Amino acid sequence: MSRPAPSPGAALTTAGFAAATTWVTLLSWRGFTDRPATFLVPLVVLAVVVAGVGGLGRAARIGTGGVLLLQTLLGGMVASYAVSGSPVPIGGAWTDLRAAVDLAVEGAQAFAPPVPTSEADVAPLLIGGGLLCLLLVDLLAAGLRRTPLAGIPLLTIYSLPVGLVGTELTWWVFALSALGFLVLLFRQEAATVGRWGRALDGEDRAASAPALQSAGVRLGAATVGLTATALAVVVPLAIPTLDVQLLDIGRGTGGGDGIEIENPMVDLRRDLNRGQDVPLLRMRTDDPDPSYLRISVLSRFTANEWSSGDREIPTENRPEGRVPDLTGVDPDVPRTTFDYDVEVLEDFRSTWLPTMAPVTTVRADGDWRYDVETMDFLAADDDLDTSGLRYSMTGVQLDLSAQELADAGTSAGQVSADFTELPPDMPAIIRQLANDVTASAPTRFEKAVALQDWFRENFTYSLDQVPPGNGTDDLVSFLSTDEGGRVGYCEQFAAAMAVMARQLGIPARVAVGFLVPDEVERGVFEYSAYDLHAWPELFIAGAGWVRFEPTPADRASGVPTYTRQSVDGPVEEPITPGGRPQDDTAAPGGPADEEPSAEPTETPEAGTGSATETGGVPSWVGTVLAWTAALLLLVGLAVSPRAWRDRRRRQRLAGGPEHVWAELRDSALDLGVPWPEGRSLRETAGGLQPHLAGSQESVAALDTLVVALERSRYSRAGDTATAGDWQPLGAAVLAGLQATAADGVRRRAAWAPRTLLRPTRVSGHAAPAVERELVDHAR
Amino acid sequence: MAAPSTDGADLETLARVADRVRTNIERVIEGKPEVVSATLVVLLAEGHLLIEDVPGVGKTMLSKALARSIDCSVRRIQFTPDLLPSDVTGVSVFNQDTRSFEFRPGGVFANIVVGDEINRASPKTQSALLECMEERQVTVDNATYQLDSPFMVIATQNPIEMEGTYALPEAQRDRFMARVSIGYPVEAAELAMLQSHTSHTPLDELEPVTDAAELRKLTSIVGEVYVSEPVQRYAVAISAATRRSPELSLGASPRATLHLVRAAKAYAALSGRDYVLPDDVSGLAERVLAHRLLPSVEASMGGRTTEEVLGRILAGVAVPEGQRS
Repeated sequence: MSRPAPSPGAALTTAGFAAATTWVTLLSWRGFTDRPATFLVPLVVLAVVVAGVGGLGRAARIGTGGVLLLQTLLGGMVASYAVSGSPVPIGGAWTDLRAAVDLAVEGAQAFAPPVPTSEADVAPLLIGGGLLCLLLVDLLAAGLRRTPLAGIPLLTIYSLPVGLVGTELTWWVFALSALGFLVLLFRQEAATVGRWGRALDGEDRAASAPALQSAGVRLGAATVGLTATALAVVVPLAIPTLDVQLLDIGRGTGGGDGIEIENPMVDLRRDLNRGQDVPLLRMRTDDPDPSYLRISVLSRFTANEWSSGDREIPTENRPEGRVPDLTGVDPDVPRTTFDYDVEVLEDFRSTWLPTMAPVTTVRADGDWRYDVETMDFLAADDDLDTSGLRYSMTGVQLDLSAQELADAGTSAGQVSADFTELPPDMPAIIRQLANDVTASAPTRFEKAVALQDWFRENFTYSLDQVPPGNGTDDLVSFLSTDEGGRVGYCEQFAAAMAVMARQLGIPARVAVGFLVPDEVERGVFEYSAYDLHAWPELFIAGAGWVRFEPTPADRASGVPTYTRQSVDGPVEEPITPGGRPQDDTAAPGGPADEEPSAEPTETPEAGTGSATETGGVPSWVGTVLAWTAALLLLVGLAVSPRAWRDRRRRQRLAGGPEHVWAELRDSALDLGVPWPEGRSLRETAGGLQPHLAGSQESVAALDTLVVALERSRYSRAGDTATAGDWQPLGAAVLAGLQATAADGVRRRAAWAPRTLLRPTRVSGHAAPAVERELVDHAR
Repeated sequence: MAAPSTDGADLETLARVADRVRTNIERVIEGKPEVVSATLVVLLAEGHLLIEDVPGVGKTMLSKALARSIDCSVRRIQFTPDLLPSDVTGVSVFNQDTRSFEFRPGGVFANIVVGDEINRASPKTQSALLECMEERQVTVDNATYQLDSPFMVIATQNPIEMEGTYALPEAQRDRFMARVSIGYPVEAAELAMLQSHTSHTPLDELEPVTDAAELRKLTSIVGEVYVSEPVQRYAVAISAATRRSPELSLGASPRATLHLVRAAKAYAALSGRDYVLPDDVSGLAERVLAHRLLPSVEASMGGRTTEEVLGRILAGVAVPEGQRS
């Protein structure tokens, strides 16, 4: 049915209410940034633009799509002006806009809310998101007049901070949003009832349009609305169990939760700089020379820093003793295992469990889980940490040889592409340096060794006067030869080498853990705060994740044995009885027992999980598969309304006359043919006839159908009158309807049928008993 | 609803007889098929008919034509200001021979009573018709006399604004099932009337086409037409809506609802159906309800007629979808 154009006043009021309600709800995003005004003020302007364009456009009878387009264009220009200073993002403004958005995205990933504006301004993200919400609510509430659906985006806006930040809900934001939503609902329902008169269930009061707008009804509606809102605000206060987070993404409580965790680098920095050394854990082992004890792996590099990225820790990833086999490691590689019993001292509280790498068994009390990609262990229980914990594990030391490492093939497809991912716009200097340093090295492994040696030979280790940080800018100044450059500590060395390796296409990550313990009695070793360290791990096919040591000898005296071997020649180093190659290039000044053992690769193993690591499937296959799946999903989404509608049409046409009639109604509405509610069958059919393209067959079919329906609905015979095949009749009427519709209308009806969102109708109210008694006389 | 169903043969009989009556009446009332239909509906629904119009459009002709088409007793009462109630109902007179009172029936004792210009009589005389019309009996001097079946009162009246008339009281208007206005004929029909009525009187040539016994059978057929609950609810909703309307100071009575449904049954039977549609109810609403409704002062001042108000009310009442099988 064609709706009358609303008056400009009414259209503007509805759009204004929708925009104001959305903006008020967006107030719940205040906690995302430390300066909420940076996005709330532009959103006021955007709300005015969206409401003004929407209200005037609808009053001028511009179609819903046209209004949305205008709103998007003008809103986009305002948003662009707010972010880049130019309403039309062309040239420099486009660059500015891109940069601002990139920075906002990185800031949102790197910082916990509220994001400090001094570090990263997330306002562009919030403005964009707010604009989307304004458009969506305006479209649903004012454009399509589906106000109940507008509650969904409003609720999403409101609950977003609860899920992401875990902040308390603000009651007055909720109350204002709910009231705005109720006003919108009231306006829509008043208009609907006003158009159609009242339903049959006779109440005493007349409910015609003027009556609905009367003071009494408004007062009643206001009372109901205010009471409901007040109850919604007050009742949870009285019932503590209702304090539920909508999106509980706490640390790994369920299967398959993604998790974002704090950066262990921060703790490393603090502990290295603390005034006195504090013992953190003791370890009893048959390993004569334990060293690198890994706490956590940092796998994600953004422009700002290295962070631990996401973890997949479903419940089946509890170690329960044994953990999956080492992946990426060739079975032929010789190996030695050692047992370790660890006692963590009270002072060391970590939600990560320090383990050897690689490790084959871990036995620890509590819900510790591992991620298959990184093989680090973290507590899945909020209250769980390492303080006072005793646990045991079995570590593996691989006997790697430089020759085999150099001969390794491509690692493509064996690890996730995340491990080679770098932010766009990396400064060219880093790539340039990486290429220059490794120019003479033919293989990946040799390039890695070249990088390690370059760091150790050309850089200075110092904890003093080095600004903390491992972001792009920090690395550029660390790598530069200017004053203050080429000085740093393990954090910068590990970060820089991993980034340069990624530049060269070698999967790389940064490990954080302990370097070398002190032996306090025979077979008992103690790690302390000063032993905290960071190092890069690079993935080499056949050997898994291989450790390198770019930090100069002042700190890490030894390097892994395999990085000292000549690639062409035979093994230079002697083999110790334990089977481990020993690095005897201890630098002067280093503690004698600091020599790292040459236990090389810890391997994220593959047994249980990701297909990308298991076989030699090329990475492009995964990409193609992902794109195909995405394409199929898009096609499916585009096709599903039509498929669903066609299926329902077939089902209904195969049913009785009532089903055929219901199908005719929906088809007519889909085609934009008016179908008045509350009219008799004959009246409805009379209104339909002009839309049947003058086809005698269609008109006759419609008449037959109406008579059959009348018999089935009103005659004594009832349902016995409905036997027969009604499909041809329904099809004939449908054909007539479609013949009159314009091509565009027909296409829209087929691909985006309106009745997809049609609310269910209520019919057949029971008559009050008195009135029923009365008419019994008439029978 | 345990009533026996109407079979097709009954409905065919009804249609045939009704068609004969219709044809007969249309020989004298030309170009007014809808008025004739309404008359038939009231006849079959055992109601009483009020014909209201300006003088000279054929009110009396219609009532006489209907009366003559049926072979039954017909009385005509010309209502005048000096007509007494006993003239209508009858009177007990003393018989010198038998030395006892005997009842002499009045004009109402007939199958069809034509009350001409009913609003010219005094309200007292008009009221004499009340008991007869509703209860189909006459009580005089403590004795009650039953009226024959079928019994139908066809009253004509001039619009109440005319001089020398007494408006029918609400109670009496409510007893008429329907009110029809004949209206002026279209020019072609008036021309045809001139040709047929100037040389002779067609009314005199009318022969009865049915009789009282057949009429009784037809009314029993109508009584068996099925009214589903949704349609009943629809009729009730319409009446209820007239009572709530701020534009009416008097809404439809429960008897009006009853009349509406009965008329709809007769209309359905005339249309060859043994069940009533919501369209039957809404289509008859104006004829059955309008003469019983009183517009409010505001509506009158606003120039809105009762028919307009009723039309708006009908548009606002949703038609029930009926029993889904």
